[in-house]
Formats: sequence, C-alpha cells, structure tokens
Amino acid sequence: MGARFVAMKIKIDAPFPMIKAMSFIMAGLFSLLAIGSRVAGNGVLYSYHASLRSIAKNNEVLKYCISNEFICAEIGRFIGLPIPPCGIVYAQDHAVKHWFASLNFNLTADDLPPVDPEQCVSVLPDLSTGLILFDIWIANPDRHRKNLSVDLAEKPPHMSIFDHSHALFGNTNGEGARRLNDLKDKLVISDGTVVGQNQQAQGVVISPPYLGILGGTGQNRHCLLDSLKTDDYFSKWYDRISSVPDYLIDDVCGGTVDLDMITALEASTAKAFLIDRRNNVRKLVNSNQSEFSGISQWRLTI
Amino acid sequence: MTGAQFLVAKYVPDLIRNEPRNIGVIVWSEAGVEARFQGADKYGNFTSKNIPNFIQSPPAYKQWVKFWLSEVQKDKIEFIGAGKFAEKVSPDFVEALQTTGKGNYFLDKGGAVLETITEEKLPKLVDELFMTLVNDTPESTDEKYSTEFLEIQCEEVIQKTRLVKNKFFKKEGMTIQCPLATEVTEIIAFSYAIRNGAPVWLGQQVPLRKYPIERDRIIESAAWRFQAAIKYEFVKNKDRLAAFVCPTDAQMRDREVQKGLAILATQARVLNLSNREEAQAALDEIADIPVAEH
Repeated sequence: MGARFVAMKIKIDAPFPMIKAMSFIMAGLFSLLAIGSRVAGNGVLYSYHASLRSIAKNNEVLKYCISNEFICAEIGRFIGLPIPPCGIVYAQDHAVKHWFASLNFNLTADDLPPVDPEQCVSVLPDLSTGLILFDIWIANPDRHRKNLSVDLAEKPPHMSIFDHSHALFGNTNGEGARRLNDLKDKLVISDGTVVGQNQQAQGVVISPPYLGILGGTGQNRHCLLDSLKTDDYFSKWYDRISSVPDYLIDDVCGGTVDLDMITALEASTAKAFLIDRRNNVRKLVNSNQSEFSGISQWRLTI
Repeated sequence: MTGAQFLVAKYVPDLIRNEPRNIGVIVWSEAGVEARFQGADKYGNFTSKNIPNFIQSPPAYKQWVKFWLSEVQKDKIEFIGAGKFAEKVSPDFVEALQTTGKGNYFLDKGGAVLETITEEKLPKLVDELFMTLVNDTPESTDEKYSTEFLEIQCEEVIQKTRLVKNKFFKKEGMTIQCPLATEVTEIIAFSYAIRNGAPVWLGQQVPLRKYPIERDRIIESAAWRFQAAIKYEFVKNKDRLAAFVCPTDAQMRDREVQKGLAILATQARVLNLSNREEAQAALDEIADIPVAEH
C-alpha cells in the first residue's frame, strides 16, 4: 500500500510564530503545514490550531499494515529509536476511515537518498545497533536502504526510521498469528537473497510466503547487518529492550482490536511473541553471531 | 557494442501537486555510465547559485546528486528492496538505478540512443542530453565560461601591455573577406587586429564553455578562422594569429579541454589569460610587430 501525504490537525503549545514542532523524544524536528487561529478556552493559553505534514497508510491492501506500524512505532519510540511520532487517525470524509499517520521528518518535504550502510554504521554505530536489535525483536524482514534515512547534512547526522508494515503479523492477510508462531525462534532479519517480497509480485509461488523456498523469512537481508563492525552498543540496547514493560506491550497489541484490524487472538499472540523475544533477544543474537559478518570479535559478556 | 539508454532524474517540489521537474540525466551504455546534474559538475562539485531555485532543500539535493554520482561509479548496484544486484555492464543496471528513487526524487526512463556509443562519445552524449532535457540556465550566466567574462579578462590584460599605445591595434570592426569559391565570399570577423589597412596580426577571443559540445564548436570555429586567415594570406603564419583563452583550474585538468587547446595551438599562438604574466609578455611581443606606414 503506497503511503499518502496528509495534513494532521493538532494543537500545539508553542508561542507564535513557530514554524517547526519539536517532538517529545529524540526523533527531531517535524514539518508544520500551517498555523491557524488561537485555541479558545481555559488551560490553552498561547495555543494555536495547527496542521502538520504527515505520511499516512491504510489497511486496504495489507490487512495488518496499521497494526504493524502502530505497535512497532510505539515500542520503538519507547526504547529511544528515532521513529517519528505517529497515531491512528480518522478520516471522516474519506472512503477509507482509518489511517496510520506519522509526522513527516523532512522539514522541507524533501526526501533523502537511500542510506549507504557502511556510512550509516560508521557515523551512527550506536543507533545502527539499536535498529538491528529492534528489527530482530519485531521480526522485521524488510529493512532496506530506503526505509531508513540518515541526513548527513545535519551535525551530528540524524537518523530517521520508518516503515514497519511487514514486521510482526507480516504482509500476508490472515496469516498473522501463524507467522508469529513460525518465526518465534528465528532471527528473521538475515534472509532475503533467495526469496524477496518482489518475487511474490513476479508470480513465484511461495508457501507459506514468509518462510520462502529455503526456509527463510521471505524478505530482505537487513541492510545494516553486514556493515556493523562493533558489538560496543549491544548491551545498551539489550537493556533498553528488556526494560519495555508488559503493560505497554499489552496496550499497543490490543490497541487495534476494537477497530477490527486484528482479532483478540492475534493481539494476544503478538503480545506473547514480543514479550518472549524481548526476554530472549540477547540469546537469539548470540546463537546467530555468524550472521553479523562485519563483527570479527565478540566480547564475552554481552 | 550496443546503443545507450538514459534516465532523467526528476524532482517533485510539492508531492501533493506532483509536478516533476528535470534535474539531471544518467546515461548507461556498455562503454560506461555517466551522469550530469543541475548545479554540479561531473565530479559532484556544486555551484550554489546554479542549484535550481525550485529545490526546497539544497542540502538534501546535494546528498541526492552525490548519491547518484557514487552509484554510477560502482561496478554493481543493488535493486533496493529486492535483494539482488545488477552489474554495470548489464542493461539491468538501469532498472536497478531506478529502484533508488524515493519520495520527491526519482529516475524516469528517458529513452534509448540507437547509435553505438563509445567511451569517447559518451561524455558528449550526456552533455547533449543534459542541455536538451535539463539545463534551463543560459550558458552565459555561468560567469567563468562566458563571453563577457573572457572579454573583461582580455581587456584587463591588454590594458597592461604596450598594445594600448599601439595606434594600429584595433579592437573592433576587423573582418577579412575570404573567397571560398568563385561567387562565394565568407566574411570572417576577429576580436582584435594590428593593421594599417591590411592586417599584420589577428586575435580572437575563444571562450571555453562549460559543456563540451558548445566548447568544441567554438574551438573548431576559431581554428577554422585562423586557418582561413593563413590560407587566404591575410597573415604570414600562425605566429601572427592569437587565440585568447581563460580556462578555469578544473578545465586545465580536463583532457578534453587540453585537447581543444592543442588544436588551437596548431593554428595560432594560444594566450592563456589565467597566466597573466605570460599573457602580458606575449602581448608586448605582439605589440612590437612592425607595421608598414603609408
């Protein structure tokens, strides 16, 4: 499902005239489309109606798109990854009512080129490690050079992470819970050279799609996996992932059930999956160290 | 050896309006891959004033241009998101390049050139396509390569030589009439002359344009003028002819420009105004050319 640009109307608490909205974690600055009238009423002093530039997706093609995006973005932001602030928005006058919208991190609405993996891990080894471990956690087999960006013109360089529509429940409608069960003990991010998502479009029969012909996970090898040269930051990110509370995972997994986007069973399966992997991501990495081809020496205690 | 395929790099200033603008060309052939982008030379050096004004974020633009220029240098590139690669020598390279597009920057298939493209022809083809499809900035606005810039440089150097005091030195209105055939006479104008009636020395400004096609045309035209001046005996030899040039540092390192200057040197003295002292000394010598008084 292609993403669409929409304007999100929100209230900001900032003195006029401010043209950029600051996010509440390290994800950086976001683009403000327009500032309107002052908000009336008590408790809204110096507040204005504002429209923000955002990118929105729906479930029309991929049934799990919104749930995948919502759950992953919330837990990713919790551990401090630069994922733009987002939410499920309601479009009253549109045929498709529910959308997942994330703020556009391109201040001028200009995209950045695909990431150079070597450069990315070289300038941002800490965040690169966090991203790899996060993608393992959420079983994201689709981290390529275009769904992550690094603005090298910023000092220091700024990373933005987006697009988790193929993680967790995957991209096969109705197979979400099955995928989570099948991938429970798999690294997930290391496949892809044989079975890519595009091969489905080319008519290659893969059954089940996420496993692929050679028992892989069905998509791309993580674009940073072979470039990471150090295990310096693994402990930091293990700590962050393990600190994510059960209640947060519970809340976000159940967040789209009432909107009929996933079933209660799928939500509970996702919750169990995320908690299990949260507790075992270190073990999962240790048993797949050979996949981190750029790391020649591992410390003993991570 | 087969023909070439080319991609047009496009930028969409406003994705909601979706009105793409051409910003560059990438040409693939079996002989190699080359690219040109607005505001940048072929090495990726930028001239800020030439980055198109419809670009919202010049820093992002520069990152894209550098990215594409680095991709075309690689021996193989990735089909992003598909987990496979294309070798540079394969036509698949073009399709792989197209997978690099994202948001308001993308590569559109431009078409194919049926003529066989050799390594030597490739830069010219890229320049020609760039000028046809992309460049909307008149060459003359690129100061260092303009006629006006060369004119100023010439004037500054001449003012410091004995030519200014030479009563036979003329800066305008110098033409020679060459009888090409029985009823065909070509009137050829020169920038400078030393004459008392008939010329004893002729000089021509030769602006070295940024883009090879135009630059080569100007060099060939100047060489032909010099050749005609000798052939029809307006001057004795090539020492009585001078080409005024002012190459940039980058042009001095460019083999194509060096070749052009070598062609000029076969027909005339080449006065390089980038080297002021040598140019002045040469013009002082020229100022001493004897002229018959009537």
